[in-house]
Amino acid sequence: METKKPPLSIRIIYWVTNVLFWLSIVISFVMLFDNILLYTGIETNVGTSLHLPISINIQETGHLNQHTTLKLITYSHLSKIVDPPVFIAKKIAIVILFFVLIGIYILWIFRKFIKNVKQGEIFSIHNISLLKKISYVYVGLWLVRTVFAQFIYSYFIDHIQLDNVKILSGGFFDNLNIHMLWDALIIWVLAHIFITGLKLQREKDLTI
Amino acid sequence: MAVIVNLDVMLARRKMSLTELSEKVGITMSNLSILKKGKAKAIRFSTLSAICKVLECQPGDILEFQPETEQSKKHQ
Repeated sequence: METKKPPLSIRIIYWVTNVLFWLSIVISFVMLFDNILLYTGIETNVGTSLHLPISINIQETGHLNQHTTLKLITYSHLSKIVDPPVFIAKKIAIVILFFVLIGIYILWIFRKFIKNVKQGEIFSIHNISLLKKISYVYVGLWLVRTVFAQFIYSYFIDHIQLDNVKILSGGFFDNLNIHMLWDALIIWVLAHIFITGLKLQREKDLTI
Repeated sequence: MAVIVNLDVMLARRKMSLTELSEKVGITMSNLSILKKGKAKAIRFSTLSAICKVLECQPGDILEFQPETEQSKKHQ
């Protein structure tokens, strides 16, 4: 039986997914190694930085020329703690490792999906379940990320005293990460398109 | 199913085997088997024409409409 060569785009996606997957594996191993060093006390300065879901009011006045002054304000949603103390760094490292592992899991499922497509198995129950799984994991990840961001926000609001700057925002609605839910929804819709595709495929197969 | 395929009846009348029909029509045995068992969802005009040509019959000799009864609906 003659096997059809998959289109170039599918082959490119497949190889990019493979590279990303193995790169993530390497990153997770490096992070795991860092965690071990951190928890055993061998290393204390890991250079970790923590993105805070808080935007702070840093205003600066610049001079365009002698007569014109410009008011500047930071337009970044996230603040960052650089070189955190070890007890915070340990927690950050575990959380980041968790997110990386979930990322690897999503990539692993996607890799299986692309492999099936590359082999010509497009509209199948297996592929539909893989797509649904990705969307559900995305929703779970969104939930964890939102709760985590909210926790960090509440913790720092309660414990940090900022002398010169004022916290502008960072509450629940600022940390909602709606784009992740959009991604999950798009993949879920794609899974349902594949269900319709499977029905059409079966009908085509049973047309003599 | 409302439309019944009487392919086995026509094959018996013509004293022809499914393998022979498959070779003459150019359709795989598995596809002809699906058609014979009534599992097919649709049949192409080209397939129907080829079968009719080989079996020297009309489409009505192969396909028959039977109204669905409550019992047959339950079986589906």
